[in-house]
Amino acid sequence: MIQVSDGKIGTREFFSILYGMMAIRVTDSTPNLLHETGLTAAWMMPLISAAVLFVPLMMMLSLLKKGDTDTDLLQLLTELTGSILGRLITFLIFASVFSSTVLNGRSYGDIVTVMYYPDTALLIVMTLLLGAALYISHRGLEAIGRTALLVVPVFMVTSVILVLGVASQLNFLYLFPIAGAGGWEVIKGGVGYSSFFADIIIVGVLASRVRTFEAYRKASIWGLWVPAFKMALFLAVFVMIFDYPAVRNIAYPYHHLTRMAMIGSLANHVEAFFLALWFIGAAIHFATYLYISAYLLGKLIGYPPYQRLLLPLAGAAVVLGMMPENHLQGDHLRKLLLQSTSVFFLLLPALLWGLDRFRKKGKR
Amino acid sequence: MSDFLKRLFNGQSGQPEKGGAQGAVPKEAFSLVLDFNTKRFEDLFRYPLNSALKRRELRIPSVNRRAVVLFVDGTADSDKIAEQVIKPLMEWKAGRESADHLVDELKNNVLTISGRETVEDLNQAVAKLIDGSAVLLIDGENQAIAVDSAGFENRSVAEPTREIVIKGPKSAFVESSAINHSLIRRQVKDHRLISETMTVGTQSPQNISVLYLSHIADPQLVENVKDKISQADRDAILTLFQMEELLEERPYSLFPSTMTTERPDRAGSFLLEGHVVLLMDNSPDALIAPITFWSLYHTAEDQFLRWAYGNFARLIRLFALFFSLLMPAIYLAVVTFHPEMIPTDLLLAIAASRERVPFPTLLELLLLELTFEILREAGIRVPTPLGTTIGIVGALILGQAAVQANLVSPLLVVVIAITGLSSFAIPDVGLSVMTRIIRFTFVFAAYAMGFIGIALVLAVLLAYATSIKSFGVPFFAPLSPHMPSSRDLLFRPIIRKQWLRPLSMKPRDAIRSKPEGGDRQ
Repeated sequence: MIQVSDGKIGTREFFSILYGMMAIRVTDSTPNLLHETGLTAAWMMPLISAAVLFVPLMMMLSLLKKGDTDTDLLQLLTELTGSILGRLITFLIFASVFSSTVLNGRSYGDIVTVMYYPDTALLIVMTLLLGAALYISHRGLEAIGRTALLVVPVFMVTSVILVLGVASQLNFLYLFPIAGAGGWEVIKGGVGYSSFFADIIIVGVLASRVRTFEAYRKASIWGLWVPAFKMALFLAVFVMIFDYPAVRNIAYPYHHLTRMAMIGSLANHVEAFFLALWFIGAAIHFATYLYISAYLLGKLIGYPPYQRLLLPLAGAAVVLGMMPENHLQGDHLRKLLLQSTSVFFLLLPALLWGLDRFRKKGKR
Repeated sequence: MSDFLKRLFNGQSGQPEKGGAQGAVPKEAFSLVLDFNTKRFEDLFRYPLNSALKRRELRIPSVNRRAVVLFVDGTADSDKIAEQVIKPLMEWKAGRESADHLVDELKNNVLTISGRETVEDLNQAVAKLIDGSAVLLIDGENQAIAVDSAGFENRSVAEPTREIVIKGPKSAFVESSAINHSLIRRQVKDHRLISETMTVGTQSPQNISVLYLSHIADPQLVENVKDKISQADRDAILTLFQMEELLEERPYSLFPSTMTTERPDRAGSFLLEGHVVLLMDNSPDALIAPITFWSLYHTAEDQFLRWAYGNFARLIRLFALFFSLLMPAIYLAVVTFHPEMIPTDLLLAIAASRERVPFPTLLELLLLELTFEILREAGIRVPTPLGTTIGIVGALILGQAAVQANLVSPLLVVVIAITGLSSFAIPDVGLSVMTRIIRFTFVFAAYAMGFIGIALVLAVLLAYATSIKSFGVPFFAPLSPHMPSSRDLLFRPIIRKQWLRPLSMKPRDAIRSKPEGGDRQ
């Protein structure tokens, strides 16, 4: 018999949450950052990032497997690094999650005001977006997972439709030179931007909320590779449709792509449809981020009813998100954040794994 | 203590409250004197004033004792009493020893009616009388015999009016709980179909039956439902629909947590999936708990039609659901925020038709939408002979004159017509009304933020809908959260592959038949 209302989520819900967290990066300024570094070979970088992150993920999984079902990343931290260092690392994770919420929130607001509603105030867009995300996250992790599970299949199907919609305008030859800026550069870039998928490590804090370890393992492996492949596919499509030098200068290639998509000869402007889907995804994305931020902050300051932190955090995200003067500043900050956190999330599981080994040897 | 204080301040002297049928009936044993017993019944029913209590005095010839048969007018079948109670008594030839155990002898060997039992006290006897039984009192005995002679007026089993099918059984529940029981028993011929009877209403008690299959339904769920019923503390609950609201976990929510069906075959199929079915006198419906979105979205006919036909119907209903929710909002968003979506020719046509309309699109839309809702409400309330008037008024005034008067544009009439039609295609009344109400939220969201507004409201709506539960079962289970089931969700598999009961109902026995296909994990 399956317990239905135990507050835990299953494989598919967890996978959908991960997809909602990472796959949506295709639509913001992430492709620009990657194209800048990888040139025509940018599409390889997400795969490299995912491959590089796969090692720490496996290390974390091996640590989580040892504990009982209630073990999560935070518990591992306090157990292995001690209370003070553990708290410091928790704070770092919180800082990276929350600042990513702020900067991405701003970035999404910018996309709407730049691409779709030039007359709408940025503040209104951000308030509405984070307001909806606040409500969703307030309904709990179960609600986030279930909502994501309902819409993620739709996202997957529509992204295929989008690619098919522009298929006639693609030119394979634009992908060459295949190695872009050179193999070494591409690998370096892939490692440097691996924190695009660092969410896979961050969600370790929710490990105890997934029904079984097996479910967690399966969902996180799929949840790392499926978004990585989606990102790779779209990066390739962007290059194939806009060609190399131009793609660097296009601000939000995904949204330009939706403008070019045609379904039949009658529906030649379907971007509003994709806009709606994208924004549903964005609401779920920010709901997850808000939830994790509040959860971490609650643990950090020892405040168990962490749901009450959602409202102040959402408010702070709107206010802080309004601070950069324009979207270029925001993007610059985002790049800094990504590069600085990459190392952190790559090394964190390795550190824990090493400590675990060391402790075991000590015991022996 | 608090009771004492309450009584003190209410100025009552601590005696039990007077008035009310059951509350006032003392739990007293009968006396041996017949006239005394009869007098007490007459007092309770206010005899000369109230003509309800009928009595038939007689003398049982063979033992030479006086007896009285009491029954309440309108609840008991007097022919039955005459044929199966009084006649056998008169014709009875007593043996020598039978005078010693007169009550048992009469009950077991004389009365030919099938339902009969001994009652010991007044309270029990009055309850029986109200339920339509006749009570036989005999001089010199301190027990009475209640015989089941209930003869309430019933209409015959008719065709369903709300859940109509083209192909499939055509009987519907009626107002009699007994007939409804037999309709369900006819569907589910299983000795493990349990029917527990509970009483609700403190002043005017009514029986409510809780039906479930003991080898399938989750015992905790059954307990939960029974708990909820016993908590319903009202003086009188006349119909199942009042019970429905009392059982509801979220009475203010737009999302229902129980549903009613008037089809015995549907009630039967719910029973087989582990749901609990409630029946009550006076209610031509069965109440199903718990429910999911799928219970509201499916119809009985989906399973009766062939696989492709049934799924086509479901596909159409899915479209209808989305149209009913979103059509006006999408129209508004496209016209005001995203006109580039419309092909140029159509755009020009819309512009031309809107040119002479003085109102902004939102106002125009609300005006027509409101009129349509009024038309619908009027259509239900209007007496049948006037029914055609509604059609004429609706079609002529709204469709034709409003456009000619430049109140609305013709395209909007089409949009509202499709929306209205779609909401009629939604099978469940609750779901249909819910979409009609939520539609307005979408309209305002679209007016404020175009497609972004629609997207955000939809995301919030989904988050709410997926997080609510009906008796512990999530609303979208087993799709989201995902649980093993036969995938009889948006579409249905062929019946051979529906071997697994949805595990979201926590069935005790999940397997219907030999596994084939489906969704095991």
